[in-house]
Amino acid sequence: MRADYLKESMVLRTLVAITISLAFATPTFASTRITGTITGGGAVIMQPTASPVAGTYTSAQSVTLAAAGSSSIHFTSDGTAPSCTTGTTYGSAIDVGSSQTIKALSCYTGGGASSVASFDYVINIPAPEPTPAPTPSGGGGNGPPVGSFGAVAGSGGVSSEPSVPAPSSGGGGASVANNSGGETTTVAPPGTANGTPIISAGVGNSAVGTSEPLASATPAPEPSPSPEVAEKSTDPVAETVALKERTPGPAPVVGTDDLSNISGFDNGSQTAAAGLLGFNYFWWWLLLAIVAIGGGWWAWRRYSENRD
Amino acid sequence: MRRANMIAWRPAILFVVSVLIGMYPLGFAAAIDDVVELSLTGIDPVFTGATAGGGFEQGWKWTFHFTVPTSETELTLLFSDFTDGSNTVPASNIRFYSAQSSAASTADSAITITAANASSTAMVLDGDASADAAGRQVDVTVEMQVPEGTPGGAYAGTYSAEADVPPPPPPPPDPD
Repeated sequence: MRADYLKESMVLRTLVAITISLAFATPTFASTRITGTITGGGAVIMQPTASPVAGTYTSAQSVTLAAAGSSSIHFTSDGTAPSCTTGTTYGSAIDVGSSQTIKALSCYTGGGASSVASFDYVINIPAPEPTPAPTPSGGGGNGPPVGSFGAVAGSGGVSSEPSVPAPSSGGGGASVANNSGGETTTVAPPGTANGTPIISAGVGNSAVGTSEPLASATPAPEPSPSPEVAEKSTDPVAETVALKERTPGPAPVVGTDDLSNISGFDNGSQTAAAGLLGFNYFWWWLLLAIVAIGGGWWAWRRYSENRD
Repeated sequence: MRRANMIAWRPAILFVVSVLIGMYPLGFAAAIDDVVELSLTGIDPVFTGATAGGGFEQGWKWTFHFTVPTSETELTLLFSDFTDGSNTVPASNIRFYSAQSSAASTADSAITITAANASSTAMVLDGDASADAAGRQVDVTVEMQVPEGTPGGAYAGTYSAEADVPPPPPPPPDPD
């Protein structure tokens, strides 16, 4: 009897359970709505714009291109017209150091492209003011260390074009300017081999340097108006003699690549140290003598006092 | 005593097991054959650079990938106007169609958006782009033309989609 009850109860409860599970398990297909934003996918084709705008400038420019909504921008700077498969893909600002024309177009997903835009940049950098040449310090005799730096300003290597004869001038006449164009008076100091421009930094003076033309085609500065300097630099023999007499240390090699290799600054600092040790050595001896004499006098006095 | 307790608990245990057994096949079936709600799995840009005044042929074009519950056979879309912040392209320049709708399967039979933020005519879905995936896979092509004179720039807008079960058929007319 009890077993029958249990059996009926189990069957009943199983049916109830299945009914409930159906109610819960059946998906509820209610109406659903989704919303979103379409961004970055719709652009009205436009030519790229350039910033700064095309025109004439007195300094090198960094040009950025933009075309809102485009997938890419292609450009050229050699005068040819780019396409979406040719030219350079724009990634970052374009350095315009000299006059040139940038042609660019914008490209879009699906094959759309703008017409080619042309941007003409004229870079016209004015000539720098002539730097007055310092008075030569007299060939390295007793010139102060500052004199050696002054020679840098008078050197012809800084911001000069190779095709323009650069003034080879130095504060003390011991300067050598090496120009790849070979138009500048070039002194070959002893030890120069294979045409390598080895410059012996004169004591107290050095003005050596060559440089590539500036990216913006800077006109060469006027030669130093110092007649004495110009006169000295045109006498190779005298220069060589001066170098031989006043070269105490190893000769630095003059760079010819860029402004960072202009050796005037480095050589200037070297010669400044040499000036302290060389020209003013007398004063060090004098000071040492004074100290020695004073000490001897003090010691003799103490000895005399103790003896008395 | 102990046996009596087990007999007393047996119905409850059986109930729970039955519920689980009953839910399993139904839930499994739902996961394989259908989905619970509408979802957008992606938007593929087809043509993003439009020419003002170039019509739909030179307008924007996207493909919307929807997953729709199989029981919901009506899909409506609505769009806002597209703007670049200062200029606007009206939503009324949009049309859409889908190969999964025999009634609106091509550009010629496309459904047109009539106004911004207004639901379109329902697109009746009767196809499935991928029978293997759960639910109904619907690829909707959305095209938008840009009116003449629209300034160049990047434009953006919003969309909304809704899937519904078809309304019940009207009751047969009373013969009386």
